[in-house]
Amino acid sequence: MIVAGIDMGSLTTKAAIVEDFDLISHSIGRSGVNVVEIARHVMNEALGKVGLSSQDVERIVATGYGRISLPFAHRTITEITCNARGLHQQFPDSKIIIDIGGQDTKVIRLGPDGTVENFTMNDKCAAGTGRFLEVAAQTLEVDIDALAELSSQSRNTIEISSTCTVFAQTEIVSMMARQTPREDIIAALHVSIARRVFGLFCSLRTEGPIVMTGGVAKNSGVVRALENLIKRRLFIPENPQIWTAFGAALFGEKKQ
Amino acid sequence: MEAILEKFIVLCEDPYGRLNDWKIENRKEVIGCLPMYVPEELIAAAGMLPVILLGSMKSVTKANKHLLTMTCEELRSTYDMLLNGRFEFIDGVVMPLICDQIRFAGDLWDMDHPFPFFHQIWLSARMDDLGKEFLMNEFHRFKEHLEEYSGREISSHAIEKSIHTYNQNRALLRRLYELKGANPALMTADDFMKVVISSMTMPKETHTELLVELVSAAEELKAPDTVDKTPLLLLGHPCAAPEKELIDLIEELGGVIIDDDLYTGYRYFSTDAELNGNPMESLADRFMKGVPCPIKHHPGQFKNEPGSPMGYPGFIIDFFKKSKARGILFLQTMFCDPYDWEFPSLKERLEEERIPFQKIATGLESHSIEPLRTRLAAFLEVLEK
Repeated sequence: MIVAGIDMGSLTTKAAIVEDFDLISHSIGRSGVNVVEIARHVMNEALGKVGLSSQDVERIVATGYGRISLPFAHRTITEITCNARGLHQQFPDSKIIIDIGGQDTKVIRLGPDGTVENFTMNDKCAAGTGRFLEVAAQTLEVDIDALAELSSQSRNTIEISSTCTVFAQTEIVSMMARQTPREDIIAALHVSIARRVFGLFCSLRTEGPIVMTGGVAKNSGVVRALENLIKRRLFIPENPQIWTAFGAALFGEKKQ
Repeated sequence: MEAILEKFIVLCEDPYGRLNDWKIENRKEVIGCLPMYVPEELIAAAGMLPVILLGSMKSVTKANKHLLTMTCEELRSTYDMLLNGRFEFIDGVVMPLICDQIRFAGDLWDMDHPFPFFHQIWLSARMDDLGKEFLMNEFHRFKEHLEEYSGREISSHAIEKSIHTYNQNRALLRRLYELKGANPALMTADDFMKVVISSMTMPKETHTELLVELVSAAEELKAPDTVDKTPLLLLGHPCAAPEKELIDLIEELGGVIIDDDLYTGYRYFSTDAELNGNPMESLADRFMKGVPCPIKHHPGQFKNEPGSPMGYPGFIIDFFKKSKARGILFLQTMFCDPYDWEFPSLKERLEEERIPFQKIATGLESHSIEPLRTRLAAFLEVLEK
């Protein structure tokens, strides 16, 4: 049985193709205005990689912010439940998930059966999310994927004091005007994000192995900053963006 | 049922605008009471109409010039309504000193817009004998001030009669709450709140007449055998009604509020003043024995403190266990000191008891509903598993 999970996030859309509970293919594309077309395209791309087409898919489960806009989905489930389901299936030891996506950050605690026991997320602003990094990268005129490497070259510790994305941008512009090394600014940004996430993390009981997912998990600078605050190692799975889509697909399988 | 419910909804469309007309028609003085816990019965016994002043959902404009941005939104909103002439119909105002912020806001109201009658009541924070004695003195001071202002003595008989009127209204609201708990499809949670809010903003006798009709219509409706929704206990949001959009979203996503401790809900009508020959004491007892609240301290509620370990967290756990709710939604009004201070101990106790809960920060004007959709939906999924 082939099932598909589509995670329509604010910055990227992810599709996971699952056969008998195994991930057989995935694809990631940039989200945009036409969410339905993008979702269809990303899913078809993932199917094409393994020689399948949409005709072969029995059930499609949508998740993420755009989930309610997908007319061809058979079911919609929130990304929190899907993320937990996907990670528990693939990494059964996980107890805590830190997921930093484009516009929100979630800390999820899993129960003994791998379902969500409790969770918390940012609800007032986008500071401490992927959007924060994206705005900063634009301001610094660097590619977002280069942020981690650049921050590792930082030699001086500086502070980004603002927790607001827009005000932080102003702060970055001032630092650039004062010729503060770009590497130091980026390292400070990573610490700033990590502090926001750490605040959420502290609001839950967090014993057990921690897994980090979402686009920001690809940034080793943020991961390091977060590990320094939490004082524990974070496990970063391969392709950290796709596990929510994978979890969504699992909900499409007949046997739960 | 729908026709009678519609009357309450209409009453809440512009409650304060309606009171302007009511006042002209009835030539009676109106006293505005800020939330919570003003003994309205005394004002009614003095021949005046007590009206609860609730903030509106509209953006705050003029008040921002006078108040700190960290002032809670109920106080910012009501003060803004005052400055924008929305409370022209009131002759006086009563401020219950339930938190630090209202003390300062009270002085501001009195300075900026002096009313013929202005009174601040200290409510006892300690729920013990000393606290009751203090509260009795405060209620007597309030009564004397009302007598001085109205030029009429407020007899014990008048207070007892007023208490009886209020108890009647509360009993009907409790009956409706019970019926709605058994049959959540009876009306939306927002409509139920409108029934309560209308009681706060009109003469109790008139409200009771309408309520009798509503309750008897509700009693005739048969509750369905099963409810295909996730029952919730809604907490927090003191001093003002939560946004309609938020309440509607909870229901749209498959939740149903079957119990609450909101001021514009169960908290307002949960406790009667029991008549025992001393009506002033009955009013004090109503507050002292009423449902626990973050503004009240019950000796024994802290760890290692002598007394009985009730207090707000204990009350909520007990309330939840008796309720059919599967989880708790805690609406935390931004900048509400008493609830902010209470939440950590409540959270600790809920986690100890393994009661599922979600806290949502809310505000009258600073709130964005859409980001909450995922959060609420995920919480309901957790409860459904």
